[in-house]
Amino acid sequence: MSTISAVAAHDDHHGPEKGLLRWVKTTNHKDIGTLYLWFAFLMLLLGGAFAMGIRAELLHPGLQLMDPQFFNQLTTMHGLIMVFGAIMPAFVGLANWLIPMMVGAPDMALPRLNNWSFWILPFAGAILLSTFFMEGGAPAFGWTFYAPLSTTFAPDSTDFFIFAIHLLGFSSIMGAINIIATVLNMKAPEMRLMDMPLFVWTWLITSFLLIGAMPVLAGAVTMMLTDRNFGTAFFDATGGGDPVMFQHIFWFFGHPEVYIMILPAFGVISHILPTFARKPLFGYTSMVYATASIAFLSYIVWAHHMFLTGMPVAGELYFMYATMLIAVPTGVKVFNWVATMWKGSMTFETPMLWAISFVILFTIGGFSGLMLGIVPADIQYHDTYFVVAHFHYVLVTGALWGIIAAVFYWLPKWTGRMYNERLGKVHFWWAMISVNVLFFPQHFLGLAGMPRRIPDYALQFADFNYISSIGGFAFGLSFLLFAYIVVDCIRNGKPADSRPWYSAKGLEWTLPSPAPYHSFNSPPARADILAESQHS
Amino acid sequence: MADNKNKKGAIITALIVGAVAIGVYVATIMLNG
Repeated sequence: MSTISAVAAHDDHHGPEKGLLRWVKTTNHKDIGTLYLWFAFLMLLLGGAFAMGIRAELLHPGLQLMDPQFFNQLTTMHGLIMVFGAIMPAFVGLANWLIPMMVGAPDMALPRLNNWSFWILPFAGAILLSTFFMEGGAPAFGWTFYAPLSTTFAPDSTDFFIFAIHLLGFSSIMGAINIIATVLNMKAPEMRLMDMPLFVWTWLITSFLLIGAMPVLAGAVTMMLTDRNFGTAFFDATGGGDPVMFQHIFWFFGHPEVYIMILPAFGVISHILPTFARKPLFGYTSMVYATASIAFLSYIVWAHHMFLTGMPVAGELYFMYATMLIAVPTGVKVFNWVATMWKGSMTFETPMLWAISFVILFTIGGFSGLMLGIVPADIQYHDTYFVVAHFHYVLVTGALWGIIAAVFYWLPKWTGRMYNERLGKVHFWWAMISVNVLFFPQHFLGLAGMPRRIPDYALQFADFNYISSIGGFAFGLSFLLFAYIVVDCIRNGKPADSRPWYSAKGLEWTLPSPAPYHSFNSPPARADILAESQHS
Repeated sequence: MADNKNKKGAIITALIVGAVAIGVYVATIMLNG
């Protein structure tokens, strides 16, 4: 293809810089994508280490390893690091690597902004983690940081937490601006919106969610900052403020945030299933509209997290029915994925295993979410381990599964090498079994009444906690194998073809493997776009 | 073939979207004030 030879010639005189400065100064979307992905993986290991601490404490009833205050710090930092340090940056990393290649663009629209978006992250993460070493310890009020726990009764380190959240939000907003500008202005001129791959569509919609939600989070923490330090009383009832308002503001951000973490995974799965079922994606157009519907609905259901704060029955009914409504477009997507596989010539390479298990396990998380959305049932389930089980099925076997599936699927394109398929399958089954041993018993614990965020528990919860912790340790260990597989692929993998999955569709597969440092300096032609479209 | 490096359009899009984000931030605080 003429584009490729042009690219190779271009690379001859303008490749990457040498040495460490390459990574500091880079404005290349592939370099920045790599930085994001490695950063997210390090944060995943760190957040995972906190989770191991939590599960070690909960292995047996009674206080074993740490005092309750430190336990609360671990649960808080685990949630914050996983959400803002691991899952979100990992998806931004995938967006950086893939979106320009998928839309036939040479790079992101605003490359310097892209560099800045990434390099804010390590500093924000370091500020957040430094709170562990401060007097009074790290924030211990949970990742939802409800006032007045996070204002009147919080440790001094909370101001550093607030600064870190501001920085993380700033980085996310700049990333979203870049993605919107790239997709709308840099896609190949002959690529129409409804030609775009699903990963691009889901990320475009996710970017609008970020633009609407992250500034609300920034507003919430700004008000916390002024309440704590400048005498305002936004969330202080004694000064005329309202602590429940904090929860409304937090969840107006927090519920779209859930979809920020899952919509790009929907996009990933919509690429992998057609490739290994050897059929076009079923219902492309309905997938796009379902994604947009989910995004819209995510803004109008926030108070289903707050049924127990007390609200009028009409409010409860509205938020309950609006929540139920999300099952419709989500169901459209799940049925489309199943229909894509139906009567396909399916094979079960590692990415496909992750994608199929995503469909099954994410659906379990979705159903338990529906259960929690029912007001009278939620009165029983609220703040129990059932909630913990629910959101881990959504965020681990949903969002994280999507990321791991994407890594295995596009690793040959990124590295030019194939990973070890046998080890990939061993890793999959190890993670698949252990994650269910870890999280499924938590449904039973919650239904039996075990509260979340406690370091000790009544004796009747001992057995399921023991099983859950054993599953947790096994699941945690599985990531060491994952790291080995990726490093082994980079160092020793067999060379990969430009299209290692021969039935894969997408402009990125028209490039050599590894993808050249600069790609699509001249845009792909209409015929190439149509040939690689998910319609065909 | 048309170019796919629409820099001016990208900057205008970025400014508009950035302004929306700032507007949401200010509105969150003002509505709660």
